[in-house]
Amino acid sequence: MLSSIQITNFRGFENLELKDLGRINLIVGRNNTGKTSLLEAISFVCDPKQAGSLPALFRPQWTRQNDARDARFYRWLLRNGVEDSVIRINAQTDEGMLRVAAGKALAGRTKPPDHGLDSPYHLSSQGSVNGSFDYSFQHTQRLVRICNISVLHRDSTKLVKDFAEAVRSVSGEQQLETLLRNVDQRIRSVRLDYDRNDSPQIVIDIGLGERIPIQQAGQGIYRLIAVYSEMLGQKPDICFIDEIENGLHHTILPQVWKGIAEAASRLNIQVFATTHSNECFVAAHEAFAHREPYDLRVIQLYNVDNRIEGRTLGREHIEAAIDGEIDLR
Amino acid sequence: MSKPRHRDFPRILIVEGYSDLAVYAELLDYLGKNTPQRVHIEMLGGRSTLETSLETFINPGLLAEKTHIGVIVDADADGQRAANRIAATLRRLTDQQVRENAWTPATTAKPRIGLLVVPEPAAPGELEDILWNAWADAPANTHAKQCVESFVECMAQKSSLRARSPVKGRLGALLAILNDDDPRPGPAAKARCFDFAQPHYKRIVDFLNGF
Repeated sequence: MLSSIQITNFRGFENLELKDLGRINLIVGRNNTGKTSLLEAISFVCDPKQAGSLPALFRPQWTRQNDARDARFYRWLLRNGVEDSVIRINAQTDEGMLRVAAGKALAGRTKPPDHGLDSPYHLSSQGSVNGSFDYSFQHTQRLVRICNISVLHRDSTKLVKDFAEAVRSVSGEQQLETLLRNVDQRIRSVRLDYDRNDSPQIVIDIGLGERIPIQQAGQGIYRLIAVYSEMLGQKPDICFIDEIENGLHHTILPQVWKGIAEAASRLNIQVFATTHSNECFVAAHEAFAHREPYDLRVIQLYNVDNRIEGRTLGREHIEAAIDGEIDLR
Repeated sequence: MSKPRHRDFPRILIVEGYSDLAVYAELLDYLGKNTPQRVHIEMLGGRSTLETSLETFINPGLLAEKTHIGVIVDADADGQRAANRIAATLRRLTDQQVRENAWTPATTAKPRIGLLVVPEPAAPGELEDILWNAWADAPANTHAKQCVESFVECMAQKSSLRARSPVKGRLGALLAILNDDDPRPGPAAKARCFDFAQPHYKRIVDFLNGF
């Protein structure tokens, strides 16, 4: 689990340092304050070998068309597109240190530059994307597995696949059902079935005498099954959920957060989620207010003279924001 | 209903409670400073949580986009302590030499920060003390003042009912007559029950003129 991260020269971040990260980290800020960029920075430092996937990881509108367009994407990963600058991202975890450096300035090096790690590291390597974006990294721990959860799940085929993966083992199935029951006690079981067109679908038993398609069980349950399926199926160390409230009525949010809190705790997953919704932020706090430990943090990002800065807020300040109706977004 | 948002305002006045907010809004109006998009008043709650609320509300992003941030708090039992604590919090958050009853100098890079403790650091009390004393000390109100005092005293002696805050008890009794639709200070201020030209308001008026 990441406990702190320092990001230099990456997109709008000149030098952003975030400490005291929690199990669930809710990222808030106005448009263009770097919420998605922060997710990209965390992805990059956790798994630099996936650098080639960065363009479309959190930007669904990014369709891979040609190398020239991707080259532009990577050029603008450097703050202000300054080609001789170097991106540096350092993250402290429970197990060790993750460090990555990237940029044109690294091109042509025969061995990874010294990242200044004192302890013996497990992994050190370098790479390049399209020959235009060179990076090197050193990790003093195993690679961190990341997973980007698509909250909309309009692609039912992918949802069914994720669900099948999650319940392939008996323990996975039991775990998923237990997690769901902790949020909604009506839920008895969730299974794969076939519809009239012989397409697989997920059905749920909520005590009606017949299992019903999850689309009919309500948006909250649908979203939770989607989120749990990805968490259990992919077993990541870190989950990203961009605009978590998307498509959800605010009355469902406490239930969704309760479920995410439960799953993240049980499966030892750290979550970074972005939101524009105050109701979402309040619902997250309500879900954690009665949990021990209180493991919610709010990462607030803001623009200061064209530099993105940020801070991490814990329980005391989250409660002050809610009590005083202070808008953190 | 959610609070109005401060984003469109370059100046912010931070106060503790709703009653304070409504009175200061009328005072700004009286001074001609409550024009649209001039001063936003943010209510951050009472003394016990005010420092945490200030830490939550004030961040570098806010400091970069505002020209003035003023804070007015009640002295309560120990005005000097309140002044010291809030000034220290503001100094830490803004990196400016914040002092009570003053605004920091104007610079292009930083907003001016002001702090005022009412009635004053050396005198325990709250905004209601100023509202009551300003009305009660006016020569025209001498007899009416005695009526209010007599009423509060009579309640205490003959029924054992005492206001927890004597000044709030007196002010409430007065406003029940002056503004019987809503005898709270804020609505009474809106109904023009207070004469802000009285010298008792001078410290507040001088401070608000800093906006």
